[in-house]
Amino acid sequence: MSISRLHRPIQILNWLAALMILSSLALIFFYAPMERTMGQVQRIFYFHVGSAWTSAVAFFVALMSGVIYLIGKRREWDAMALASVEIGLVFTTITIASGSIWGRPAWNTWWIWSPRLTSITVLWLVYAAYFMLRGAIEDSERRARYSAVYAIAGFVTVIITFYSIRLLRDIHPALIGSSADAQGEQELTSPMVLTMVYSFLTFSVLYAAWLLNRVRLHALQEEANSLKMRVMTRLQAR
Amino acid sequence: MPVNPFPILLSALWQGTGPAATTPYLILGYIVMWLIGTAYVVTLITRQRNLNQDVQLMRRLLEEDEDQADA
Repeated sequence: MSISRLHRPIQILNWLAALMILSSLALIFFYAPMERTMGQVQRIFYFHVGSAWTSAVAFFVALMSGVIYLIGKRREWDAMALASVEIGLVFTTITIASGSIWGRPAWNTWWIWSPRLTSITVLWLVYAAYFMLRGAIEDSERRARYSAVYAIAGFVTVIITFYSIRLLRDIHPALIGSSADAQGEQELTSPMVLTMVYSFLTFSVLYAAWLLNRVRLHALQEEANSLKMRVMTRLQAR
Repeated sequence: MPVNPFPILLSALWQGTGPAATTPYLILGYIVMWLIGTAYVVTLITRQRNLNQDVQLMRRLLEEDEDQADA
């Protein structure tokens, strides 16, 4: 897809994401009731879980883009995987930071090396290393191929992170199903569920907006590189 | 005499009515999340602006080179 064709959908998605974030905040602070056990801090839940969900989606998109790239060798899918991993890492950072702040009043500690927190740290490091891998390979075709394989293999950490609280004893509560020893389990009322679903939608739209912005940035980078090569060729020909 | 409800609401929001006063953590959490999100948006905007400047410069250099070749 050419850069100019992306402008309109990006503009629409940017505005939609901004509006949905504002309306999501309105639901969180004025519609969703306060949780009885944890008090006000439980309202972090909506963005914490929303960003965690979106990061998993982003890494799944990177996995699928990797697979499609390996089949067809089309560079757009490498750009898509790169964009998705970058955005997934931002959402994972938001998840870890918000979880740590929520954990302080809920568990009386900023951090604990429980299975969930350990596995998400490993996940963050694995996907951060994706950029180191890309930076270390100069040949673009080889870089795209290795990155695709890495993005596919890296998704194992997402699966491990998801199942860590279901398979191992953990202080972290599970949203779907329950985990042994969890502290901070909560009963979700209907307004809470509605607010949570809306937060999921909001973060999904925000992800789509950022993804298109990042893909456009990559296309611009390619154009700049191509023009630089032409200028260099002209200068050398003199 | 009418009572202004806002100080009461703010006080309730700050202290919470649950077992613990957790509102400062709520505020901190949202500030940190906003900072991370905003920092990423700023990097996107900065990178795009720099690349646009690069593209314009390269195009100008190519045009100047073509003009010189024509002359």
